[in-house]
Amino acid sequence: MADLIFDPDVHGELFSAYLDGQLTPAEVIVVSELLDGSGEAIQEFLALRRVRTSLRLLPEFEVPAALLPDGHLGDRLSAYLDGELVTIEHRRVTKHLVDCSDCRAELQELDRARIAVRSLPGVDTTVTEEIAATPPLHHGRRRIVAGGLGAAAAAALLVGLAVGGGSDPAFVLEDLATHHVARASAEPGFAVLPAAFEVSAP
Amino acid sequence: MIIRRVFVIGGLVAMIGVIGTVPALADDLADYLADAGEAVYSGRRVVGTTWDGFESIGVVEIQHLEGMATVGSGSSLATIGGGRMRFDDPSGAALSYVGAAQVDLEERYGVSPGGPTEHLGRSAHVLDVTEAGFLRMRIVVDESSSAPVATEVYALDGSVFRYSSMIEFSVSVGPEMAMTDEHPYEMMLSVGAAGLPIDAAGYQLVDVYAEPQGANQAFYSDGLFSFSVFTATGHMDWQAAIDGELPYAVDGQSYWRVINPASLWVMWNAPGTTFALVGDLPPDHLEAVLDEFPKPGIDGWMKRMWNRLFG
Repeated sequence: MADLIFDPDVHGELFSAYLDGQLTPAEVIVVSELLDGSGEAIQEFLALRRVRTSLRLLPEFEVPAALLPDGHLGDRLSAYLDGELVTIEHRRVTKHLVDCSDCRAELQELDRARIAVRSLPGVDTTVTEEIAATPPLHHGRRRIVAGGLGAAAAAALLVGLAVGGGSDPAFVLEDLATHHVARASAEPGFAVLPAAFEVSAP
Repeated sequence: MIIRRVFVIGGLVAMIGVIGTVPALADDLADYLADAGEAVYSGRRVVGTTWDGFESIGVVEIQHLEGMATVGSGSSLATIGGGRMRFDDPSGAALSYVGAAQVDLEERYGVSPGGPTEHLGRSAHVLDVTEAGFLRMRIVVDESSSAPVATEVYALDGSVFRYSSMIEFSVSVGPEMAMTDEHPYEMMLSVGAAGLPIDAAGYQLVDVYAEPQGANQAFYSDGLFSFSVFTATGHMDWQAAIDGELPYAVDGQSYWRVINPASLWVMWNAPGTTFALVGDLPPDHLEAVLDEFPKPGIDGWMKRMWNRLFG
Protein backbone atom coordinates (compact mmCIF):
# COMPACT_ATOMS: atom_id res chain seq x y z
CA MET A 1 0.00 0.00 0.00
CA ALA A 2 2.83 2.36 0.82
CA ASP A 3 4.15 2.09 -2.74
CA LEU A 4 0.88 3.19 -4.27
CA ILE A 5 0.92 6.93 -4.98
CA PHE A 6 -2.18 8.66 -6.23
CA ASP A 7 -1.90 10.19 -9.67
CA PRO A 8 -5.08 11.94 -10.89
CA ASP A 9 -4.23 11.32 -14.53
CA VAL A 10 -3.68 7.64 -14.01
CA HIS A 11 -6.27 6.84 -11.37
CA GLY A 12 -9.13 9.16 -12.32
CA GLU A 13 -10.36 6.71 -14.92
CA LEU A 14 -10.10 3.93 -12.37
CA PHE A 15 -12.35 5.84 -9.98
CA SER A 16 -14.89 6.40 -12.72
CA ALA A 17 -15.00 2.70 -13.51
CA TYR A 18 -15.20 1.94 -9.78
CA LEU A 19 -18.27 4.12 -9.44
CA ASP A 20 -19.76 2.29 -12.39
CA GLY A 21 -19.15 -1.04 -10.67
CA GLN A 22 -17.08 -2.20 -13.61
CA LEU A 23 -13.73 -3.05 -12.08
CA THR A 24 -12.16 -6.41 -11.64
CA PRO A 25 -11.65 -7.51 -8.04
CA ALA A 26 -7.92 -6.73 -8.32
CA GLU A 27 -8.66 -3.20 -9.53
CA VAL A 28 -11.13 -2.67 -6.70
CA ILE A 29 -8.37 -3.50 -4.23
CA VAL A 30 -6.17 -0.86 -5.86
CA VAL A 31 -8.93 1.72 -5.50
CA SER A 32 -9.54 0.72 -1.89
CA GLU A 33 -5.88 1.15 -1.07
CA LEU A 34 -5.74 4.53 -2.77
CA LEU A 35 -8.77 5.72 -0.79
CA ASP A 36 -7.29 4.44 2.44
CA GLY A 37 -3.91 6.03 1.91
CA SER A 38 -4.39 9.41 0.25
CA GLY A 39 -6.41 12.44 1.19
CA GLU A 40 -5.97 13.75 -2.33
CA ALA A 41 -7.42 10.53 -3.71
CA ILE A 42 -10.42 10.82 -1.40
CA GLN A 43 -11.04 14.38 -2.51
CA GLU A 44 -10.76 13.42 -6.16
CA PHE A 45 -13.07 10.48 -5.60
CA LEU A 46 -15.64 12.60 -3.77
CA ALA A 47 -15.57 15.30 -6.44
CA LEU A 48 -16.17 12.71 -9.12
CA ARG A 49 -18.98 11.12 -7.12
CA ARG A 50 -20.69 14.48 -6.54
CA VAL A 51 -20.57 15.26 -10.23
CA ARG A 52 -21.97 11.85 -10.93
CA THR A 53 -24.78 12.36 -8.43
CA SER A 54 -25.52 15.78 -9.85
CA LEU A 55 -25.64 14.35 -13.32
CA ARG A 56 -28.32 11.96 -12.26
CA LEU A 57 -30.46 14.89 -11.22
CA LEU A 58 -30.21 16.52 -14.63
CA PRO A 59 -33.31 15.67 -16.65
CA GLU A 60 -31.45 15.29 -19.92
CA PHE A 61 -29.32 12.55 -18.43
CA GLU A 62 -31.97 10.66 -16.52
CA VAL A 63 -33.00 8.50 -19.43
CA PRO A 64 -30.05 7.40 -21.55
CA ALA A 65 -31.93 7.67 -24.83
CA ALA A 66 -28.98 6.28 -26.75
CA LEU A 67 -29.44 3.04 -24.87
CA LEU A 68 -33.21 2.92 -25.14
CA PRO A 69 -34.69 2.72 -28.64
CA ASP A 70 -37.50 5.32 -29.07
CA GLY A 71 -36.99 6.31 -25.43
CA HIS A 72 -39.12 3.48 -24.04
CA LEU A 73 -38.26 0.23 -22.37
CA GLY A 74 -39.69 -2.23 -24.89
CA ASP A 75 -38.39 -5.75 -24.42
CA ARG A 76 -36.62 -4.76 -21.24
CA LEU A 77 -39.96 -4.75 -19.45
CA SER A 78 -40.20 -8.49 -19.84
CA ALA A 79 -36.74 -9.02 -18.41
CA TYR A 80 -37.57 -6.54 -15.66
CA LEU A 81 -40.71 -8.45 -14.79
CA ASP A 82 -38.77 -11.68 -14.72
CA GLY A 83 -36.24 -10.17 -12.34
CA GLU A 84 -33.49 -10.87 -14.83
CA LEU A 85 -31.91 -7.43 -15.00
CA VAL A 86 -28.68 -6.84 -13.14
CA THR A 87 -28.97 -4.26 -10.39
CA ILE A 88 -27.39 -1.37 -12.30
CA GLU A 89 -29.80 -1.88 -15.19
CA HIS A 90 -32.69 -2.47 -12.81
CA ARG A 91 -32.14 0.94 -11.25
CA ARG A 92 -32.09 2.62 -14.65
CA VAL A 93 -35.33 0.93 -15.67
CA THR A 94 -36.99 1.71 -12.34
CA LYS A 95 -36.01 5.35 -12.73
CA HIS A 96 -37.53 5.42 -16.19
CA LEU A 97 -40.76 3.87 -14.88
CA VAL A 98 -41.11 6.70 -12.37
CA ASP A 99 -41.44 9.22 -15.19
CA CYS A 100 -43.02 7.22 -17.99
CA SER A 101 -46.72 6.41 -17.64
CA ASP A 102 -46.69 4.58 -20.99
CA CYS A 103 -44.10 2.10 -19.78
CA ARG A 104 -45.85 1.72 -16.42
CA ALA A 105 -49.09 0.89 -18.21
CA GLU A 106 -47.28 -1.57 -20.46
CA LEU A 107 -45.67 -3.19 -17.44
CA GLN A 108 -49.04 -3.65 -15.75
CA GLU A 109 -50.51 -5.04 -18.95
CA LEU A 110 -47.64 -7.48 -19.29
CA ASP A 111 -48.04 -8.55 -15.69
CA ARG A 112 -51.78 -9.10 -16.10
CA ALA A 113 -51.12 -11.26 -19.13
CA ARG A 114 -48.63 -13.35 -17.21
CA ILE A 115 -50.98 -13.81 -14.30
CA ALA A 116 -53.66 -14.96 -16.74
CA VAL A 117 -51.28 -17.49 -18.29
CA ARG A 118 -50.24 -18.81 -14.90
CA SER A 119 -53.83 -19.23 -13.81
CA LEU A 120 -54.71 -21.46 -16.77
CA PRO A 121 -55.27 -25.05 -15.60
CA GLY A 122 -52.98 -27.76 -16.87
CA VAL A 123 -50.69 -25.48 -18.82
CA ASP A 124 -47.13 -26.67 -18.78
CA THR A 125 -45.12 -23.98 -20.52
CA THR A 126 -41.64 -22.65 -20.20
CA VAL A 127 -43.14 -19.92 -18.06
CA THR A 128 -44.18 -22.38 -15.41
CA GLU A 129 -40.81 -24.07 -15.65
CA GLU A 130 -39.15 -20.76 -14.97
CA ILE A 131 -41.37 -20.23 -11.98
CA ALA A 132 -40.54 -23.65 -10.63
CA ALA A 133 -36.84 -22.96 -11.11
CA THR A 134 -36.99 -19.72 -9.17
CA PRO A 135 -35.55 -20.24 -5.69
CA PRO A 136 -38.46 -20.33 -3.26
CA LEU A 137 -38.48 -17.25 -1.10
CA HIS A 138 -40.44 -18.70 1.74
CA HIS A 139 -38.64 -21.88 2.56
CA GLY A 140 -36.26 -22.13 5.42
CA ARG A 141 -35.79 -19.71 8.24
CA ARG A 142 -34.07 -16.37 7.94
CA ARG A 143 -32.32 -15.10 10.96
CA ILE A 144 -33.08 -11.74 12.40
CA VAL A 145 -29.71 -10.31 13.36
CA ALA A 146 -30.21 -8.80 16.72
CA GLY A 147 -28.98 -8.89 20.23
CA GLY A 148 -30.56 -8.69 23.62
CA LEU A 149 -34.28 -8.55 24.14
CA GLY A 150 -35.09 -7.78 20.54
CA ALA A 151 -33.56 -10.97 19.20
CA ALA A 152 -35.12 -13.06 21.92
CA ALA A 153 -38.53 -11.54 21.39
CA ALA A 154 -38.35 -11.86 17.61
CA ALA A 155 -37.15 -15.44 17.78
CA ALA A 156 -39.90 -16.30 20.20
CA LEU A 157 -42.37 -14.65 17.88
CA LEU A 158 -41.29 -16.78 14.95
CA VAL A 159 -41.48 -19.97 16.93
CA GLY A 160 -44.78 -18.97 18.46
CA LEU A 161 -46.32 -18.27 15.08
CA ALA A 162 -45.19 -21.60 13.79
CA VAL A 163 -47.31 -23.33 16.41
CA GLY A 164 -50.14 -20.84 16.38
CA GLY A 165 -53.23 -22.83 15.53
CA GLY A 166 -56.95 -22.57 15.07
CA SER A 167 -58.16 -20.14 12.46
CA ASP A 168 -54.93 -18.17 12.35
CA PRO A 169 -54.24 -16.59 8.97
CA ALA A 170 -51.15 -17.70 7.11
CA PHE A 171 -48.73 -15.01 8.24
CA VAL A 172 -45.06 -15.89 7.97
CA LEU A 173 -43.63 -13.18 10.14
CA GLU A 174 -40.03 -13.80 9.26
CA ASP A 175 -40.94 -12.91 5.68
CA LEU A 176 -42.75 -9.77 6.77
CA ALA A 177 -39.51 -8.27 8.08
CA THR A 178 -37.71 -9.22 4.88
CA HIS A 179 -40.43 -7.78 2.70
CA HIS A 180 -40.66 -4.53 4.61
CA VAL A 181 -36.92 -3.91 4.58
CA ALA A 182 -36.64 -4.79 0.88
CA ARG A 183 -39.32 -2.26 -0.02
CA ALA A 184 -38.04 0.35 2.42
CA SER A 185 -34.59 0.16 0.84
CA ALA A 186 -35.95 2.12 -2.14
CA GLU A 187 -36.71 5.11 0.09
CA PRO A 188 -34.30 8.02 0.67
CA GLY A 189 -34.33 7.52 4.44
CA PHE A 190 -32.86 4.06 4.06
CA ALA A 191 -29.44 5.68 3.65
CA VAL A 192 -29.37 6.88 7.26
CA LEU A 193 -31.75 4.55 9.11
CA PRO A 194 -30.35 1.10 9.90
CA ALA A 195 -33.39 -0.92 8.82
CA ALA A 196 -31.15 -3.26 6.88
CA PHE A 197 -29.84 -4.36 10.23
CA GLU A 198 -32.90 -6.51 10.80
CA VAL A 199 -32.35 -8.94 8.01
CA SER A 200 -29.62 -11.36 7.25
CA ALA A 201 -29.16 -14.77 5.75
CA PRO A 202 -29.81 -18.06 7.61
CA MET B 1 -18.75 1.76 -20.02
CA ILE B 2 -17.47 4.14 -22.68
CA ILE B 3 -20.87 5.84 -22.91
CA ARG B 4 -21.07 6.17 -19.14
CA ARG B 5 -17.67 7.78 -19.01
CA VAL B 6 -18.58 10.17 -21.78
CA PHE B 7 -21.53 11.16 -19.62
CA VAL B 8 -19.27 11.72 -16.65
CA ILE B 9 -16.72 13.74 -18.57
CA GLY B 10 -19.40 15.65 -20.47
CA GLY B 11 -21.24 16.22 -17.25
CA LEU B 12 -18.11 17.50 -15.58
CA VAL B 13 -17.70 20.12 -18.27
CA ALA B 14 -21.38 21.00 -18.10
CA MET B 15 -21.35 21.29 -14.33
CA ILE B 16 -18.31 23.57 -14.34
CA GLY B 17 -20.01 25.70 -16.95
CA VAL B 18 -23.34 25.85 -15.17
CA ILE B 19 -22.55 26.12 -11.49
CA GLY B 20 -18.85 26.80 -11.43
CA THR B 21 -18.03 24.85 -8.30
CA VAL B 22 -19.05 21.58 -6.70
CA PRO B 23 -20.82 22.15 -3.37
CA ALA B 24 -18.84 20.96 -0.36
CA LEU B 25 -21.86 20.08 1.76
CA ALA B 26 -25.38 19.04 0.98
CA ASP B 27 -27.64 21.97 1.83
CA ASP B 28 -30.91 20.10 2.22
CA LEU B 29 -32.00 16.76 3.52
CA ALA B 30 -32.79 15.24 0.15
CA ASP B 31 -29.33 16.17 -1.13
CA TYR B 32 -27.67 14.68 1.91
CA LEU B 33 -29.67 11.46 1.72
CA ALA B 34 -28.68 11.15 -1.94
CA ASP B 35 -25.03 11.62 -0.94
CA ALA B 36 -25.35 9.08 1.88
CA GLY B 37 -26.99 6.62 -0.48
CA GLU B 38 -23.95 6.82 -2.76
CA ALA B 39 -21.37 6.67 0.04
CA VAL B 40 -18.67 4.03 -0.05
CA TYR B 41 -17.76 2.57 3.34
CA SER B 42 -17.57 -0.54 5.45
CA GLY B 43 -17.20 -1.49 9.08
CA ARG B 44 -19.20 -2.56 12.09
CA ARG B 45 -22.26 -0.76 13.33
CA VAL B 46 -23.97 -0.94 16.71
CA VAL B 47 -27.71 -0.28 16.63
CA GLY B 48 -30.11 0.02 19.51
CA THR B 49 -33.64 1.03 20.41
CA THR B 50 -34.79 2.18 23.84
CA TRP B 51 -38.49 2.41 24.47
CA ASP B 52 -40.57 2.34 27.65
CA GLY B 53 -37.68 0.87 29.62
CA PHE B 54 -36.99 -1.87 27.10
CA GLU B 55 -33.71 -1.90 25.24
CA SER B 56 -32.70 -3.93 22.22
CA ILE B 57 -29.14 -3.74 20.92
CA GLY B 58 -27.10 -5.52 18.29
CA VAL B 59 -23.99 -5.26 16.15
CA VAL B 60 -23.76 -5.90 12.44
CA GLU B 61 -21.07 -5.84 9.79
CA ILE B 62 -21.85 -3.59 6.87
CA GLN B 63 -20.41 -2.77 3.48
CA HIS B 64 -22.02 0.03 1.49
CA LEU B 65 -21.49 0.88 -2.16
CA GLU B 66 -23.65 2.74 -4.65
CA GLY B 67 -26.89 2.47 -2.70
CA MET B 68 -26.43 -1.22 -1.94
CA ALA B 69 -25.59 -2.46 1.55
CA THR B 70 -24.36 -5.91 2.46
CA VAL B 71 -25.17 -6.66 6.08
CA GLY B 72 -24.71 -9.64 8.34
CA SER B 73 -21.86 -11.46 9.94
CA GLY B 74 -19.34 -13.94 8.56
CA SER B 75 -20.91 -16.08 5.87
CA SER B 76 -24.40 -14.93 6.81
CA LEU B 77 -25.03 -12.05 4.44
CA ALA B 78 -27.86 -10.21 2.74
CA THR B 79 -27.48 -7.47 0.13
CA ILE B 80 -30.12 -4.77 0.21
CA GLY B 81 -30.85 -1.52 -1.64
CA GLY B 82 -32.98 0.19 -4.25
CA GLY B 83 -36.00 -1.97 -3.44
CA ARG B 84 -34.02 -5.17 -3.86
CA MET B 85 -32.81 -7.79 -1.43
CA ARG B 86 -30.91 -10.98 -2.02
CA PHE B 87 -29.49 -13.55 0.31
CA ASP B 88 -25.94 -14.58 -0.40
CA ASP B 89 -26.56 -18.19 0.58
CA PRO B 90 -27.28 -21.44 -1.27
CA SER B 91 -31.01 -20.65 -1.48
CA GLY B 92 -30.19 -17.62 -3.60
CA ALA B 93 -33.52 -16.11 -2.56
CA ALA B 94 -33.95 -12.64 -4.03
CA LEU B 95 -36.77 -10.15 -3.99
CA SER B 96 -37.30 -7.02 -6.07
CA TYR B 97 -39.98 -4.39 -5.51
CA VAL B 98 -41.40 -2.21 -8.23
CA GLY B 99 -42.13 1.03 -6.42
CA ALA B 100 -42.33 4.15 -8.48
CA ALA B 101 -43.84 6.76 -6.17
CA GLN B 102 -41.57 8.99 -4.12
CA VAL B 103 -42.65 10.95 -1.07
CA ASP B 104 -41.49 14.54 -0.64
CA LEU B 105 -39.76 14.37 2.74
CA GLU B 106 -39.26 18.12 2.86
CA GLU B 107 -42.96 18.59 3.47
CA ARG B 108 -42.31 17.33 6.98
CA TYR B 109 -38.60 17.67 7.69
CA GLY B 110 -36.00 20.38 7.60
CA VAL B 111 -32.28 20.23 8.17
CA SER B 112 -29.76 22.55 9.76
CA PRO B 113 -26.00 22.24 10.22
CA GLY B 114 -24.93 21.34 13.74
CA GLY B 115 -21.24 22.13 13.42
CA PRO B 116 -18.03 20.14 13.07
CA THR B 117 -17.23 17.09 15.15
CA GLU B 118 -15.19 13.90 15.08
CA HIS B 119 -16.11 10.24 14.92
CA LEU B 120 -13.52 7.50 15.37
CA GLY B 121 -10.87 10.17 15.00
CA ARG B 122 -12.17 11.25 11.61
CA SER B 123 -13.45 14.66 10.64
CA ALA B 124 -17.22 14.82 10.59
CA HIS B 125 -20.06 17.28 10.83
CA VAL B 126 -23.48 17.20 12.41
CA LEU B 127 -26.82 17.52 10.61
CA ASP B 128 -29.90 18.19 12.69
CA VAL B 129 -33.17 17.03 11.17
CA THR B 130 -36.12 18.96 12.50
CA GLU B 131 -39.85 18.31 12.38
CA ALA B 132 -42.04 21.36 13.06
CA GLY B 133 -39.15 22.92 14.97
CA PHE B 134 -38.56 19.80 17.06
CA LEU B 135 -35.22 17.98 16.82
CA ARG B 136 -36.21 14.61 15.39
CA MET B 137 -32.88 13.22 14.29
CA ARG B 138 -29.18 13.99 14.56
CA ILE B 139 -26.83 12.59 11.96
CA VAL B 140 -23.05 12.61 12.22
CA VAL B 141 -21.69 12.67 8.69
CA ASP B 142 -18.19 11.50 7.87
CA GLU B 143 -16.51 14.38 6.05
CA SER B 144 -14.66 12.49 3.38
CA SER B 145 -17.21 9.82 2.50
CA SER B 146 -20.60 11.40 3.40
CA ALA B 147 -21.39 8.19 5.28
CA PRO B 148 -23.76 8.46 8.26
CA VAL B 149 -21.36 7.28 10.95
CA ALA B 150 -23.77 7.90 13.82
CA THR B 151 -27.46 8.69 14.11
CA GLU B 152 -29.86 9.41 16.92
CA VAL B 153 -33.65 9.47 16.58
CA TYR B 154 -35.49 11.33 19.30
CA ALA B 155 -38.84 10.67 20.90
CA LEU B 156 -41.22 13.52 21.56
CA ASP B 157 -39.89 13.96 25.12
CA GLY B 158 -36.40 14.55 23.71
CA SER B 159 -35.02 11.19 24.79
CA VAL B 160 -33.01 9.05 22.38
CA PHE B 161 -35.31 6.43 20.96
CA ARG B 162 -32.95 4.80 18.47
CA TYR B 163 -29.25 5.17 17.85
CA SER B 164 -26.64 3.72 15.57
CA SER B 165 -22.92 4.20 15.50
CA MET B 166 -20.08 2.84 13.42
CA ILE B 167 -17.58 1.28 15.81
CA GLU B 168 -15.18 0.33 13.03
CA PHE B 169 -15.04 2.35 9.85
CA SER B 170 -13.23 2.36 6.52
CA VAL B 171 -13.88 4.24 3.30
CA SER B 172 -13.32 1.12 1.26
CA VAL B 173 -15.30 -2.02 0.54
CA GLY B 174 -14.40 -5.57 -0.38
CA PRO B 175 -14.00 -6.55 -4.03
CA GLU B 176 -17.20 -8.59 -3.95
CA MET B 177 -19.25 -5.41 -3.64
CA ALA B 178 -18.19 -4.32 -7.12
CA MET B 179 -19.27 -7.54 -8.78
CA THR B 180 -22.37 -7.57 -10.93
CA ASP B 181 -25.17 -9.67 -9.52
CA GLU B 182 -27.08 -11.90 -11.88
CA HIS B 183 -29.59 -13.40 -9.48
CA PRO B 184 -33.11 -14.17 -10.65
CA TYR B 185 -35.35 -11.92 -8.58
CA GLU B 186 -38.90 -12.54 -7.49
CA MET B 187 -40.71 -9.39 -8.55
CA MET B 188 -43.24 -7.66 -6.33
CA LEU B 189 -45.69 -5.49 -8.26
CA SER B 190 -48.13 -3.03 -6.78
CA VAL B 191 -51.69 -4.33 -6.87
CA GLY B 192 -53.66 -1.19 -6.12
CA ALA B 193 -55.79 -0.17 -3.17
CA ALA B 194 -56.15 -2.18 0.02
CA GLY B 195 -59.00 -0.38 1.75
CA LEU B 196 -56.53 1.28 4.09
CA PRO B 197 -55.92 4.98 4.79
CA ILE B 198 -54.26 6.87 1.93
CA ASP B 199 -52.64 9.18 4.45
CA ALA B 200 -51.89 7.99 7.98
CA ALA B 201 -50.68 10.77 10.27
CA GLY B 202 -48.38 12.24 7.64
CA TYR B 203 -47.33 8.92 6.13
CA GLN B 204 -48.48 8.33 2.58
CA LEU B 205 -49.69 5.01 1.31
CA VAL B 206 -47.13 4.49 -1.46
CA ASP B 207 -47.79 0.97 -2.73
CA VAL B 208 -49.77 -2.16 -1.92
CA TYR B 209 -48.41 -5.61 -2.69
CA ALA B 210 -49.97 -9.07 -2.56
CA GLU B 211 -48.23 -11.53 -0.27
CA PRO B 212 -48.06 -15.19 -1.32
CA GLN B 213 -50.26 -16.49 1.51
CA GLY B 214 -53.17 -14.23 0.71
CA ALA B 215 -52.02 -11.36 2.89
CA ASN B 216 -51.40 -7.82 1.66
CA GLN B 217 -48.49 -5.49 2.32
CA ALA B 218 -49.33 -1.79 2.37
CA PHE B 219 -46.17 0.34 2.36
CA TYR B 220 -46.25 3.80 3.93
CA SER B 221 -43.53 6.43 4.00
CA ASP B 222 -42.99 10.05 4.94
CA GLY B 223 -39.71 10.08 3.01
CA LEU B 224 -37.58 9.51 6.09
CA PHE B 225 -39.30 6.86 8.19
CA SER B 226 -41.44 4.09 6.79
CA PHE B 227 -43.59 1.16 7.79
CA SER B 228 -45.50 -1.69 6.21
CA VAL B 229 -48.92 -2.84 7.38
CA PHE B 230 -49.52 -6.50 6.63
CA THR B 231 -53.14 -7.58 6.68
CA ALA B 232 -54.85 -10.95 6.37
CA THR B 233 -58.37 -12.20 6.79
CA GLY B 234 -59.06 -13.90 10.11
CA HIS B 235 -57.43 -13.40 13.45
CA MET B 236 -54.16 -14.40 15.08
CA ASP B 237 -53.80 -15.46 18.68
CA TRP B 238 -50.96 -13.02 19.28
CA GLN B 239 -50.87 -13.60 23.01
CA ALA B 240 -50.20 -17.28 22.50
CA ALA B 241 -47.83 -16.61 19.65
CA ILE B 242 -45.55 -14.17 21.42
CA ASP B 243 -43.40 -15.58 24.16
CA GLY B 244 -42.19 -12.83 26.46
CA GLU B 245 -45.16 -10.75 25.40
CA LEU B 246 -45.02 -6.97 25.44
CA PRO B 247 -48.52 -5.59 25.65
CA TYR B 248 -48.87 -2.08 24.34
CA ALA B 249 -51.77 0.25 25.05
CA VAL B 250 -52.63 3.28 22.93
CA ASP B 251 -55.70 5.37 23.78
CA GLY B 252 -57.14 2.54 25.78
CA GLN B 253 -56.68 0.03 22.94
CA SER B 254 -54.56 -3.09 23.46
CA TYR B 255 -51.88 -4.14 21.00
CA TRP B 256 -48.83 -6.42 21.09
CA ARG B 257 -45.39 -5.26 20.21
CA VAL B 258 -41.87 -6.49 19.59
CA ILE B 259 -38.91 -4.16 19.96
CA ASN B 260 -35.92 -4.92 17.73
CA PRO B 261 -32.71 -2.91 17.47
CA ALA B 262 -33.79 -1.14 14.28
CA SER B 263 -37.52 -1.72 14.02
CA LEU B 264 -40.79 -2.04 15.87
CA TRP B 265 -43.51 -4.56 15.34
CA VAL B 266 -47.07 -3.93 16.46
CA MET B 267 -49.73 -6.59 16.05
CA TRP B 268 -53.46 -6.64 16.65
CA ASN B 269 -56.74 -8.15 15.55
CA ALA B 270 -59.58 -6.01 14.29
CA PRO B 271 -62.97 -7.44 13.31
CA GLY B 272 -62.38 -9.84 10.43
CA THR B 273 -58.75 -8.85 9.88
CA THR B 274 -55.41 -9.32 11.58
CA PHE B 275 -52.74 -6.63 11.35
CA ALA B 276 -48.96 -6.57 11.71
CA LEU B 277 -47.17 -3.23 11.43
CA VAL B 278 -43.41 -3.37 10.85
CA GLY B 279 -41.38 -0.18 10.63
CA ASP B 280 -38.82 2.22 11.99
CA LEU B 281 -41.06 5.13 12.93
CA PRO B 282 -40.67 6.83 16.34
CA PRO B 283 -43.21 6.19 19.12
CA ASP B 284 -45.24 9.39 18.79
CA HIS B 285 -45.58 8.83 15.06
CA LEU B 286 -46.58 5.24 15.75
CA GLU B 287 -49.34 6.25 18.13
CA ALA B 288 -50.74 8.75 15.64
CA VAL B 289 -50.57 6.16 12.86
CA LEU B 290 -52.37 3.48 14.86
CA ASP B 291 -55.19 5.93 15.42
CA GLU B 292 -55.82 5.90 11.65
CA PHE B 293 -56.26 2.14 11.38
CA PRO B 294 -59.10 -0.14 12.49
CA LYS B 295 -59.02 -0.56 16.26
CA PRO B 296 -58.41 -3.83 18.07
CA GLY B 297 -61.46 -5.96 18.62
CA ILE B 298 -63.04 -9.17 17.44
CA ASP B 299 -66.24 -10.14 15.71
CA GLY B 300 -69.21 -11.20 17.78
CA TRP B 301 -69.75 -14.93 18.25
CA MET B 302 -72.54 -15.01 15.66
CA LYS B 303 -70.37 -13.46 12.98
CA ARG B 304 -67.50 -15.77 13.85
CA MET B 305 -69.80 -18.76 13.53
CA TRP B 306 -71.17 -17.45 10.24
CA ASN B 307 -67.65 -16.98 8.90
CA ARG B 308 -66.68 -20.46 10.03
CA LEU B 309 -69.71 -22.02 8.35
CA PHE B 310 -69.81 -20.01 5.16
CA GLY B 311 -66.37 -18.51 4.84
